[in-house]
Amino acid sequence: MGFFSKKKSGNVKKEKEMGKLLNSRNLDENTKRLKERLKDCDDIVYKEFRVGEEQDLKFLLVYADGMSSRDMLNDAVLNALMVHAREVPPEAKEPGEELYRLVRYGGLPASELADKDNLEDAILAILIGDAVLFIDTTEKCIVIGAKGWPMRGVSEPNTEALIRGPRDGFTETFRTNTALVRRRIRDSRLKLKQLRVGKRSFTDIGIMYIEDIASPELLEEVFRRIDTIDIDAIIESGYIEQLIEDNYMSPFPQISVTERPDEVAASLYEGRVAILVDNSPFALIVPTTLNSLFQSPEDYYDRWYVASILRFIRYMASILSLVLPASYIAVTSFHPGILPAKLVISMAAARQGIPFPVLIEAFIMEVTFELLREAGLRLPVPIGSAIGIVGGIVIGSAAVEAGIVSPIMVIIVAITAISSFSIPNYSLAVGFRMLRFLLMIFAGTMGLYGIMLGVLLILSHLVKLKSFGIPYMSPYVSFVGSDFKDTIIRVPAFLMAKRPVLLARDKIRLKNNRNLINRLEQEGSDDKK
Amino acid sequence: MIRNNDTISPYQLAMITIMTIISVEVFSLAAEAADELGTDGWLVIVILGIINIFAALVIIRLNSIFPGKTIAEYSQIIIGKIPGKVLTGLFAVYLIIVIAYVTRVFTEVVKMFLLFRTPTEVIMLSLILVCTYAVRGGIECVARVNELIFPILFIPFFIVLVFGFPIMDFSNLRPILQTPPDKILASIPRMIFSFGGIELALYYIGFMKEPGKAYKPLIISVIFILLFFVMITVFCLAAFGAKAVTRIIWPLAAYIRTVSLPGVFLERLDGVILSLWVLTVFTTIVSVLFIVSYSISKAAGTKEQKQFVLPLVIVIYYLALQPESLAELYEWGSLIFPYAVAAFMYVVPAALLLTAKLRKMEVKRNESN
Amino acid sequence: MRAIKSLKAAAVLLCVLLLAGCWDKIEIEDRLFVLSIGVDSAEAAEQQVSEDKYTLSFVSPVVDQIKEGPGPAFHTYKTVDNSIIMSVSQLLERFSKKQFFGHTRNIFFGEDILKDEKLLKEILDGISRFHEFHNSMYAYFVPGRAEEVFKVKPMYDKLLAPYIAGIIENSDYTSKIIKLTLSEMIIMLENQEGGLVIPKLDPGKEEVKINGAGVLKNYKLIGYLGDQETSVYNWLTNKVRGGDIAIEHNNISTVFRHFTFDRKIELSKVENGNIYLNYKMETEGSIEEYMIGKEIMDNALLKEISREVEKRIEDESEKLIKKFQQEFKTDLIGARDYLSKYQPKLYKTIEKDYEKFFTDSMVIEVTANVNIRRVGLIK
Repeated sequence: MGFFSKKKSGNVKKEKEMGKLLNSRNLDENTKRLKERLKDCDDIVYKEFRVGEEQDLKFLLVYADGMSSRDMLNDAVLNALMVHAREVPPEAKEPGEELYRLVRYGGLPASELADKDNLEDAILAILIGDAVLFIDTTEKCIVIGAKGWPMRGVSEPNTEALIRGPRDGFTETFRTNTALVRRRIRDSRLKLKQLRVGKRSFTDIGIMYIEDIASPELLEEVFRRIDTIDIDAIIESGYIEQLIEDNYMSPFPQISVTERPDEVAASLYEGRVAILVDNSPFALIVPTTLNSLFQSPEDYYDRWYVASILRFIRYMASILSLVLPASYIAVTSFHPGILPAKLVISMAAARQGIPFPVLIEAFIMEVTFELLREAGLRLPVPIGSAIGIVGGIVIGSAAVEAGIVSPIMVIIVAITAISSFSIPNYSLAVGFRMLRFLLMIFAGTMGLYGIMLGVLLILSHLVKLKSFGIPYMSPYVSFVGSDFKDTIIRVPAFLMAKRPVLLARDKIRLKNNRNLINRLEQEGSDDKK
Repeated sequence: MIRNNDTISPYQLAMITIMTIISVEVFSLAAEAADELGTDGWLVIVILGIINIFAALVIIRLNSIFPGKTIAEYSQIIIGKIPGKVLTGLFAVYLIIVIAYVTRVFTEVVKMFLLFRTPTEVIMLSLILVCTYAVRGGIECVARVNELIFPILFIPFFIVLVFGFPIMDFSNLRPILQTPPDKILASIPRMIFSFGGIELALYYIGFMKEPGKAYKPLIISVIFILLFFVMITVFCLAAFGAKAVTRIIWPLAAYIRTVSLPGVFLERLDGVILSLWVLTVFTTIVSVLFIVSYSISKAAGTKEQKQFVLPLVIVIYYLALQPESLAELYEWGSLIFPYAVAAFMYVVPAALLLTAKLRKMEVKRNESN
Repeated sequence: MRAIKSLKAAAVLLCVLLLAGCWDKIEIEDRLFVLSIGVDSAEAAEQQVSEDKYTLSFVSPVVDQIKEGPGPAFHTYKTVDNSIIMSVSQLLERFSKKQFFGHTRNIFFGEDILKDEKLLKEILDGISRFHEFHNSMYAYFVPGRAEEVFKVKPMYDKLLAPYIAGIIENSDYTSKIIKLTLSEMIIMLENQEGGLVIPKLDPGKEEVKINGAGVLKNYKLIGYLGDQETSVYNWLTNKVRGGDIAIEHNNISTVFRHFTFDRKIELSKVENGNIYLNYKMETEGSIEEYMIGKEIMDNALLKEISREVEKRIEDESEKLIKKFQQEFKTDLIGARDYLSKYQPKLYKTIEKDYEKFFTDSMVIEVTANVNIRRVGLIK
């Protein structure tokens, strides 16, 4: 083998046509180019070795330390080529294509192998965590799948813990996440389309859907929107969420975010589409309706009584968290006639000597509470929860004793806060928080009438909102009977026969088996006679 | 599944009709009905309801000849371009007056029961602006809002109504059927405005995919409203007696004042119920305002109707502030509305249908769409 | 696009302006809750100007003394002015807190107001028109001056108004109390052309007593009913729930306690230009007292007693009916109501001179039917 590099004229044309610089056939040239591009990247490892009985075939293995699994490379590449190749005389000593094919199709006991022939792809492969094998005398290089970086084990997501339900949650590794979802949908019609988004980050994004359930228009829309993203880096799925959502000004989230693979799987079965993003344990689910934001996977694992009651409590709690402080302000300042005489008198007694009007008092307490909540989040766990309790109690009672707020106000704020914790979706809870202040202002100026106007504004906004073409208030408007089985109450499992009408094709998912179960009972009792 | 923007379902049609018709008239309904006829007041309502069912049938028939088109479009086909535009313009003017009237009456009610010192302008303007936000969302928003508000309003309202049983004395409804029929017929014009709103179907059916499906929802809505009105009248009569009820301006509000929910710690419910009533006034104004801006946009030939809403607000606001007092307002109303409503609910659809039939404009399936 | 955006921005700003004022906001501690009102005609000595017609008395709780506290739980005060609205405004000159009438439970009419037709009409109009009053307050008539009521310091209750309202609500258990709300009062006056029976409240030192009633005709007080008569009135107008009837049977005092009482009116006949009405009273209850040594759980004995009770009911009712026909000369016992509703054609013929008709040409019989169901715990 010589150090000659044959640059055929054909190759030059090819280069210009493809726009990417082909590797050279000379290994040293390639090495030089690589080291130039990856200058000052001291974590890239270049392993040159020779193979063959006469040790005259030059190979170069390049990988990023820490991203590729050194053991795997040692076994699959270095061991195979350096050691075992000695034991078997190579059948072709010719350089170029022959050698390449020999190594590629029989010499490397690795499961993921790919061919590349230009520098860009090779470098991308290295930076992703694969290893690239350059062979002298050929411009093609072999990409060996050897990803292996340190990652967190699969554990229960702490923001979405359930009493009953699986305890695995997504991690930051894309492949693990896709595997977790695929375990629950062992259907060949579960499709995973991978894209790379981000000009500098080349983040892996996976779009998962079940082919014959999800609607083609929805898929088209999802792909179209992701195509429009033109950004340098995607660090977390939140970037994608914000770049593809329908209405960025609305306080309501139009895309669900979850860490739980069972939730993703259930949504896929309903006809939704999931977007998994590398480096983020939070998967996105589109489209989203207000009703789905109030659902938690536990609702489906428990029996229908439990589920219905809990759902109902959730709805009540969210309405309370929105409207309670505002109603209190409206009733005490504008229409005390609504309360019975005894209550009114004791309220008035409680408020003797408080210098602020009710509106200001409410604002003070609410803002203090929000500050406490934020502070609690930033501090490490043991201190954080203590601050929350201590802060709440101490500040609350101290304020009452100092005569700045009335005790009723503290109770109201506490109930409001507790109610807002029962909203399953965090972004929705934050949205409600903001709207609560808005309603308080309305109540402070126009009493109950103001609250009604505020509620109407919110309602109009919700009704206008769409998430990927599905109206946000979907099961409640466009009245379709079968969708109602899963809103405020959840009907018994054997009745939930259809998928959501707006989302899914292939409507029937379940056949009613109640009569079969009961019949077996009867037959059993006949036998006993 | 991207749904198209411009159709409503039959259920939505029913909701829109019900919520639009029920607005401020319900408050003074019992007083108006009992004024002329005493204890037979509810009879007028029944008769009027039946008449209106026929009117609804005429309207639906008319719309089925031109599926997908509203009166703004097919009136031009039936009677010519200019007369059609004039008709639409008149309709729009009438509707603007309706909105102004409703807004003003409701503001007066609010001032009487809820907010005593807040300036009228503020109450009115805030209401109209909130309605504007909804109307700008287009037909989808209007239809869905009506759908949603229906249960939110009616369930608490019925609960409150029913709790009034202890104070009702149904013998107050006697003697029945004592008024001579000519008196009954003479008092129909006064009550026409209560059912006003059915003529909006002339527009809304045009937004349905299949006008043929409009029969059931529209008829059911008229019957529902009929029963609702009769129930209200009967309850107010039973609670107060025919003589006393005519002295109260808004018997329904007075009725709610006297209701007390046993065991619940809320006492005077009139504040709560009146706040709920904002919901129905809202839906009425939204439904009508949408039609007005839609017809203007059709006349001007523009695609969107959003931009016309705000200028309309100014017109309505100005108009609503015109009457100096409640008495003048009701005078206005009784002068204009019986004729206007009768015209647009009975005369216009019947005339157009007749003309269309005469010109042999039966369902041309290839012409429309 | 720019134009539209700026228009939108202008609209939003306009909205913010709207929220700038809170015109109706009055903090709850800045309100003074008026729990009862008393209406009298102004005495000459109190009048500052000759137009002053009414003396209105109010009672409000002292809020922080309610639960515990040495001070008095409520205060009373009064105004003298020539109309209700002016009186209320006058209060603004004297108090830092604004009066709130949404919880007013009672309204007391002094005797002199009820005797003056014109004043009564004016004040009733003012009360029903004023939107701050809630017309579910209970109305009473006080012999003497209404302001006397406000001097009472109740024995067991802290506040005067709930105490009195509580007594009125006892009307479910006894037939001697008439429960009259303001809205009923106005409706009755309207329907009966100024006729009304209004419960009487006697103020004492540490308690009040509600028994008896005053009778109004043409918006004027013309007579009184004693407490037994009030009981009978309640029977005749079908307003009774519970109550006791005391009779003597074989020289033994016994009491019949009833829990339901139904009154139906029927037209017996029309003869010689006279209308014969029959008031059918139906009631059932238990015997509460007899005498030791005698057993009453005996069907025949019970039937005797029930006949005695029936006789008592019939006699007392007919006495009161005569009193209404001859002394008061006005129909407040429900006959007109019945005739206008159930016999409209007949009513039309006598509508114009109904009063005269009632006095001269109406014969009312009372038949009672008493069922004694229970006798208590011992035989």
